[in-house]
Amino acid sequence: MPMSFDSPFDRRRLLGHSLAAGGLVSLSGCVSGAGGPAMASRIIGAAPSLAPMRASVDRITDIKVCLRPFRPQGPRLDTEMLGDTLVIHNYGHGGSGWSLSWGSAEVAVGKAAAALPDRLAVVGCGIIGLTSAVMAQRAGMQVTIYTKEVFSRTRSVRANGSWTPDSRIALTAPAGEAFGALWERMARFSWKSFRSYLGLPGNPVDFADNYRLSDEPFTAREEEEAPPPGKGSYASTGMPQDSSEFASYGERIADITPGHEVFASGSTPFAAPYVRRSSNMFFNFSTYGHYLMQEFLENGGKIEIREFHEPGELAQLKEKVVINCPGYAARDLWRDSKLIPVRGQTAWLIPQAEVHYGIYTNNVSALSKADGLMIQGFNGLGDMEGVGDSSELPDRAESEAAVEVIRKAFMGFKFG
Amino acid sequence: MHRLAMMFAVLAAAGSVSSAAPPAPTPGRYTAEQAAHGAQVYAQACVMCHKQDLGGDFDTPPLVGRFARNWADSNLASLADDLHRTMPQFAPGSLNAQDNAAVLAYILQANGEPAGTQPLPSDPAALARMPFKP
Ligand SMILES: Cc1cc2nc3c(=O)[nH]c(=O)nc-3n(C[C@H](O)[C@H](O)[C@H](O)COP(=O)(O)OP(=O)(O)OC[C@H]3O[C@@H](n4cnc5c(N)ncnc54)[C@H](O)[C@@H]3O)c2cc1C
Ligand code: HEC
Repeated sequence: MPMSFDSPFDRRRLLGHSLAAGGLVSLSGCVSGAGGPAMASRIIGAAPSLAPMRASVDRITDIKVCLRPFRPQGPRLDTEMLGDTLVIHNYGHGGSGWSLSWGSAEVAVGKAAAALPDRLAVVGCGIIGLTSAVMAQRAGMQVTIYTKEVFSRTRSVRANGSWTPDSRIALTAPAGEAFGALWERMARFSWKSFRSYLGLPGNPVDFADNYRLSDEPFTAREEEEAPPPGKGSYASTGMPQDSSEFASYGERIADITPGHEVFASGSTPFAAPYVRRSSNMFFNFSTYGHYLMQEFLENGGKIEIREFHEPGELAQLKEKVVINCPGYAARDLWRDSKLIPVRGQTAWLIPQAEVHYGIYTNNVSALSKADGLMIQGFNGLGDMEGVGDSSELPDRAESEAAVEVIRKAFMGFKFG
Repeated sequence: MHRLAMMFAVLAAAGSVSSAAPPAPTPGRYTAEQAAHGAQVYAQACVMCHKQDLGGDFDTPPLVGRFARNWADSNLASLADDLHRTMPQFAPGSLNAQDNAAVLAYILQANGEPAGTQPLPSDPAALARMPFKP
């Protein structure tokens, strides 16, 4: 069935990119001019008056780097027996771990429940481990989380934290046909789960408008060129070589994905002549983490700080059913060489409660979240950005350059 | 030990354990033909809510995994009766006794129980002597 031309996925199909973050627009080589007017659902007049983002390098309070735990085959959700212990894996969610967490937890907990345990262990307390633990409690189990670090210290809180369910989640070929259906099930389950956190004090889960600014009109682009011959692929090199290898499943959930609106030229507070708006869900790490921890503890959950060094150590736990959620660390802990690091960096500026929107311009995204104005720069490599880079050292120059782009986007901004 | 054996059975059914699965305790409380008929009933009356893989979704509970835990301490009479009284949700009670037993056989199969030579009865007294997990 042809998609209606105003879905954001048209752009993605045209560009061969994934429904990515920040999105909103984001990652994918959303160079100026990409996207299409033809696909705009409607042209609208004046934008609401907005408070400006105060983007300047002296307001940077933190720079966070994180490695997306990317598996070309998609997240690992299979099971294995270690002696008398049933291990259910739940790791390797690439750039979609926040988004798919509930659905993935539902799958893992279903497998655990089939073994009828009264008590369950969860390894890891990132967003995957914590949601797995809470889901297991909701299914009636007593849960202990064994983890090296508590939630607020995990890689999960170094992410962007937007609804990006198919951002670097798999490569189309190695993941195979069947994964698309599983992905859809996880995405839909998660989407519904997040709804129960909307409107709570502290906005653990929230929606914001995202303005995409451009110096050129948004025009539909032709199909992205095929990668140059001889470049190789995952199949021939063991590493993805081109953005076109990354899976995109967004069309499967087009019915729950908002479209976008294009503003008449000059009708917005931004100086940029071409502005388009869409809406996206995002997660405020501190309050959302707090709600999750609260539910876990109120239901009798226990946390034990512990570091595992060998898979066999899991068999020594008193719980005989374990959901394994170490994230990228599975590369070491489980010797999973299929895990590929995908580096990403975000700068966090002083929070601005009066700002409640995001922008994307010149390969940089900015989103005002409860715990800060988050600014993330991309270098136009699309889904290949950061692939294979396992450095978690912050690069301040990279963040300063991104903040500069946002600062400039607010030059000539019309107040009130 | 019992649980462990069952764990193997479940895994083997899910295709996750290739070998070394111990023999299932009491094989065969339904026939393969019965489960195949149950699959047809399922495709007509259940799949739209409980989904192809019986995994359900956010609004509909799964009929595998968590489901097994929910019913582990009950017997098949209770489950068959519950099924008949409440499902399919849009037309409860519309399955005849034969279809009801068949769809239950299909659910047992999906939960890792092997087929045998005797069909699953629909007589409540007989079902009452069968624990959910043999
Ligand atoms: C820059 C960036 C932006 C992102 N943006 C988004 C986004 O917008 N939306 C989205 O959905 N996803 C996003 N992601 C992806 C998302 O952050 C990850 O998929 C997710 O955080 C993975 O969570 P996890 O729980 O599996 O891993 P982690 O958060 O790494 O948690 C692993 C847990 O296991 C514990 N552990 C590890 N090793 C051991 C051990 N040996 N013994 C005991 N415990 C151990 C750790 O202490 C930790 O508690 C982004 C990622 C990055 C890097
Ligand atoms: C219209 C959607 C719908 C259809 C069709 C449907 N179900 Fe259900 N089913 C549900 C919902 C919703 C529940 C949960 C009901 C509740 O908790 O009150 C449920 C619960 C069940 C349960 C109990 C699960 C448990 O863990 O206790 C069984 C068994 C079941 N359904 C079997 C079937 C079978 C077999 C069919 C087809 C003959 C069927 N259902 C058709 C929606 C449906």
